[in-house]
Amino acid sequence: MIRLILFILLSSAIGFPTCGFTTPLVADLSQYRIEMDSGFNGTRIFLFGVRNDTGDVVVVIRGPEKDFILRKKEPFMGIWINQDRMKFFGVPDYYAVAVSKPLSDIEQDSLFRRLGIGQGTLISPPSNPDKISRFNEYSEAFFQHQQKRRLYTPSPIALTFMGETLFKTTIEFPDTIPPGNYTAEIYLIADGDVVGMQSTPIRVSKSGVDAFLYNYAHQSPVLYGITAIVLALSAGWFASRIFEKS
Amino acid sequence: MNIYLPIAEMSVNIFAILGLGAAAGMLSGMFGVGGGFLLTPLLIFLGVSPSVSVATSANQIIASSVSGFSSHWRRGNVDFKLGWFLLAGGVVGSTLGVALFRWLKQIGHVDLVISLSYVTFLGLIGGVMARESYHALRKNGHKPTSMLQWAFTDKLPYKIEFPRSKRTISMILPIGIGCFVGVMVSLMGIGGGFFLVPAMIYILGMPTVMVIGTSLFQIIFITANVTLLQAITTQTVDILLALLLLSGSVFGAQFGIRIGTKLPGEYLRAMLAALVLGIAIKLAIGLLAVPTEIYSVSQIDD
Repeated sequence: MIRLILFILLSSAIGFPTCGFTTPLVADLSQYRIEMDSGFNGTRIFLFGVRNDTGDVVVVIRGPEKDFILRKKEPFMGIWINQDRMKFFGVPDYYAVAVSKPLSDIEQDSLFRRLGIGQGTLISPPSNPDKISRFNEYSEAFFQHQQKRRLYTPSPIALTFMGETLFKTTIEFPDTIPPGNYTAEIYLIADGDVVGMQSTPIRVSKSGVDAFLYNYAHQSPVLYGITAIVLALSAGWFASRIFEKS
Repeated sequence: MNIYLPIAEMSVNIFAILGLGAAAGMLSGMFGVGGGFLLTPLLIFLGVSPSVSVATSANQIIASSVSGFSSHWRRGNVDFKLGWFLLAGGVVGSTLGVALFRWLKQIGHVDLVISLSYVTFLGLIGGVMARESYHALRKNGHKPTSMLQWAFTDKLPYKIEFPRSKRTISMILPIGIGCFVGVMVSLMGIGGGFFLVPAMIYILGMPTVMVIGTSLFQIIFITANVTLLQAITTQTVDILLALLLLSGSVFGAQFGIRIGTKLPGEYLRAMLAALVLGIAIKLAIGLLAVPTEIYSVSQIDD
């Protein structure tokens, strides 16, 4: 951490006088790995950076892409039953955006759509205009669901500047995050164009007992099932022996 | 204090899970039932997915059944011959049930079928139990009818003698009952004692002393079969969650046995009836009321 701050301070101090040579954007994370062991209850990552040019900074964190199916309950003979449904393919299961000012103030719809900045860009709408309202209904329901699990944020996270060049933000990762490969993308946007960009991978994986059990369950399911049975049998037998004695 | 579960992929409060295990254990100690009917709905309520809840409950029920079974076995209250016939049906039923569960999950109706099964069967059994304990508490000597027994026992072919239970009945009956219970075990994440015990008394006409031990014998194998099949096909058995539930239930059961021996049987049965009916009503309201979430989201696995 000290090295990181030093690096930032140095690059900002040296960076400005020699403006033409420096990269427009430098950023770093407090960690590149999130390990989920049995004590895991969510975590946060600090992102620090320096801009050596004018422009707005936008940070995007994307989780692993998944395919989803949404179902809508409707009353059927007095009982609420899943009826209509819609599928969304290749949507990140985790998604967070951090910006220094509201996205609407930057106003670059086509650029945002191209870069996938903002929740609205994650699922492509149908080309048929008649289907738009149903699509909007389901995509809104999907965002609500992800927000409830704290995997999406209802509004962008605040990104604060310390002075003109130094910026920082904190990204929350709740206990419900799916394991997999994440990316942190940092953009410097000026006059409707990207003037600087950096992308950093973040690896989220289970570790310790949790990694062992998960891999065991998926790699040798038969043995895992037998282990589960033997554990339960011996625990039950052991308990009954204690009962008999007491 | 929280613990992250590797298969359920969420962090849970360790004391909530231990408490849940203790409550299920207390039920088994007090009433001699597995407690799965309490465990599965409450796990789902805590946010564990229905698949993980059902599969892990099956795993934990193995343990509570073994400790009950061993004490009945020592007293010689197990009819193994009849147990094997129940088991044969149970293995077929639970295998079918796991496949059925998977199919329901794919078409998106698994939550509905779990709720409907709970409401229907807990409602029916709870109702019958409430009626009987009402009569028992009023002490007007109401005898349970054995109409079912009369209707089935004499007319079916392939009769076999079961000397320990002092019955000669068609083998179709225990196999059929076992099969039905097997399907319910894999759908509802319960041991199935709720179906088995009344079925063995009223349909098979077994002596009451033999019923609990023999049903536990079958439940051990059925829940083991469900655990193994779920581990192989869906990887939804969470050993860590099962171990936590187990540790809670060991203590809960001891506590339950002490309460159980102090209270008269009629009161115990009335309490169990109230609990069973309560869960059925709670779930029925859930089906009928406007849901808090109209939309459900699930991942497409394959």
